[in-house]
Amino acid sequence: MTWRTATFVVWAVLAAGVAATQVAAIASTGRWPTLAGLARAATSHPVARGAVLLGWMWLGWHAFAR
Amino acid sequence: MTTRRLTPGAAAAALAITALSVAAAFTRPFTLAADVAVTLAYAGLAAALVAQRRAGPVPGVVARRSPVAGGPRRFGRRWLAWAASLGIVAAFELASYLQGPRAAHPTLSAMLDSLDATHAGRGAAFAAWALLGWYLVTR
Repeated sequence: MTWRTATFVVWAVLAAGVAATQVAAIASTGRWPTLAGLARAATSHPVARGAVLLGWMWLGWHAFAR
Repeated sequence: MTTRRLTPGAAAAALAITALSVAAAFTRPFTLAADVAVTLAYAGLAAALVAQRRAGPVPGVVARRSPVAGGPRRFGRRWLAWAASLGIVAAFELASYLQGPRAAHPTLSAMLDSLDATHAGRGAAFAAWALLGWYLVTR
């Protein structure tokens, strides 16, 4: 197995982990927060919300313009 | 139980995001066209912020007719699973970034570049990014 293949495998496992966390959160019916709850909590403070929006702007510039 | 309906503003935003994503699908990085597409998305986000401020606590993609249970926002043990999941992702992204060559250790950006290589992939990725911005601003 090459390093490239191994890295893709790890990324796939991590993606599955995030998806499993989300599924478990939905199944817990409120006991654990979902991704949406995480976004709500992370942007509930104006300063944090500004930081998240700046991150969104950077992501768009990084991914599509540069 | 929450009843939801599509607002005119949300419909206009959906149309604008679709049109901009189609246009962005045909741009390439490091071009003026790509810069303009991203800047137009920024302008749309700013417009949504202003409109929301004028209208008060109005909804995002849908209008909420009853309060949505958000659950406690205090950080505590219930957030540990997300902290672990996203922390590991961030650590692996950093490790991949610091290791070389990029072809052997692809980062999230490198994988996104592969998606961006096709018009459809680039348009879809742009739409996902724009929708995320809309969600963050108007939820």
